[in-house]
Amino acid sequence: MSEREDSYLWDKSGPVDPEVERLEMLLAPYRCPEVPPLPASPRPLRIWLYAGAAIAAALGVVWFTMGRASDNWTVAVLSGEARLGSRTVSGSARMTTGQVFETEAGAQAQIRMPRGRLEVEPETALRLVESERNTQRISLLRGTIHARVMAPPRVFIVDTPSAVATDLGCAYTLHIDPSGDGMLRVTHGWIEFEWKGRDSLVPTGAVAVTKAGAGPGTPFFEDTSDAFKTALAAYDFPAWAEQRPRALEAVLSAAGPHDAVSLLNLVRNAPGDARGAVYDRLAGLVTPPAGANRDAAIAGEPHALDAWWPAVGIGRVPGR
Amino acid sequence: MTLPPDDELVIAAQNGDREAFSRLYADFAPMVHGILLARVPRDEVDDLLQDVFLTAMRRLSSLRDPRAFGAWLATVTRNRANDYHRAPHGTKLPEQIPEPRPVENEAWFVLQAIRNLPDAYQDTLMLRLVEGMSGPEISARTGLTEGSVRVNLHRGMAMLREALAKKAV
Repeated sequence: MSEREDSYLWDKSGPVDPEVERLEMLLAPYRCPEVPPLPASPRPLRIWLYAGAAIAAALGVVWFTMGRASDNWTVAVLSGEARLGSRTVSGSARMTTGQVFETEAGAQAQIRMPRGRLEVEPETALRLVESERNTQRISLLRGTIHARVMAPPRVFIVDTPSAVATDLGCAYTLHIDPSGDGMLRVTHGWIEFEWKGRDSLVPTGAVAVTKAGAGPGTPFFEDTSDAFKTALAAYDFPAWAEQRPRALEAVLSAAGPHDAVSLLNLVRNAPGDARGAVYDRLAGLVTPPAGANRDAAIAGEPHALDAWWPAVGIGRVPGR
Repeated sequence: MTLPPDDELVIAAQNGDREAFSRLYADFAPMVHGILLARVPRDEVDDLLQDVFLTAMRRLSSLRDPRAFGAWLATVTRNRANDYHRAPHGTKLPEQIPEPRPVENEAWFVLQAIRNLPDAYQDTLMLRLVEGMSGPEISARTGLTEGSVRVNLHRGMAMLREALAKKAV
């Protein structure tokens, strides 16, 4: 058969080549299993127009596979002992909504989920809360997970006793101890760390502490000064609320240009009467970007700080 | 100039648009999957696929020509597969692949036959026969010219037919 006669092999047109068709059917089970979820938020019109044909073709597959999401959670115990629900797991097993997965001391496990993967450290317990195409949610009861997520922003969410981690990026480590306190460390991308209206945006390289009863603290880079870390801890988690104004003064005094991410989060979360001082300190450390509006930022207008994030060298916040 | 959709997505992803990157992931995952399947044990493909996209996300800003995204991603994928085999756990494929169940025997053998073809034919046939991509789609995704893809498909398929005939699959 000449190259020109291989029309079915080339573009699936022309007479079906029985051998090629047989091999296609034989090898179909090895095909990439991912089904693209529909976008979480609207895309620009032009991209939609281009993507329209592909989406239309995929819709049938998506429709056919609706409800399969929870079938795509698989736990694999790499070493040691682990339990899924009431049974001990060795090797791999399907995880379904509502089940709790627990690793014993010394055990290592991995959870493969739709469009992502979790490495599970020893003495960790987590529950699969929800697994739909546009929302995948677990509850980290205790222990440590390392997450790699390829889903669109806000699809993968981790509940903890003291904070909710919403994935805006793709790689992070989250630890929760039995008391509900914990720490988030983002290795790539962004995480929104939120609890009862108090939220932090944590970019690559930053960490954020969370405390039971208080929620997430202000993100910071671990290589910042000890003075800044100490002041920030005193501000975020004071023994008495009356200590906060003085703690904030210490934070602003100790802040350097490297702490601009922390100050940006503080502008968002500080009480209204304190935001001006934080904003002014930030503007003293980093040249304000074009279009920066102090009054809008202090008033807490939703997008008033959007231009600041790229200005401090960490890029745009996804979804903003 | 209006850029093709993938180029716009690449530029958006380079500017930190996670939805754009997610769409690139959806569009290019089959290509990455097929290239990996030609090179590493099947059980490792899913994990390595995610490693490839994580690497791609980290390095995307270094890509100067968004039109070259597919070819660049294919290179990242091949490099990751090579790294896998250089690492201590990377052993030869036949030892890594568990004994196939009877119903998988024939498919497993065909996969092995494709893996034994020259590299250029392996990738193209995996994308065509396993991932279900057409020749033009393979060209668009990998950055190879349509002429090269057509030749690879034709010659690769001829070699595959010959190999299967010898084993009477």
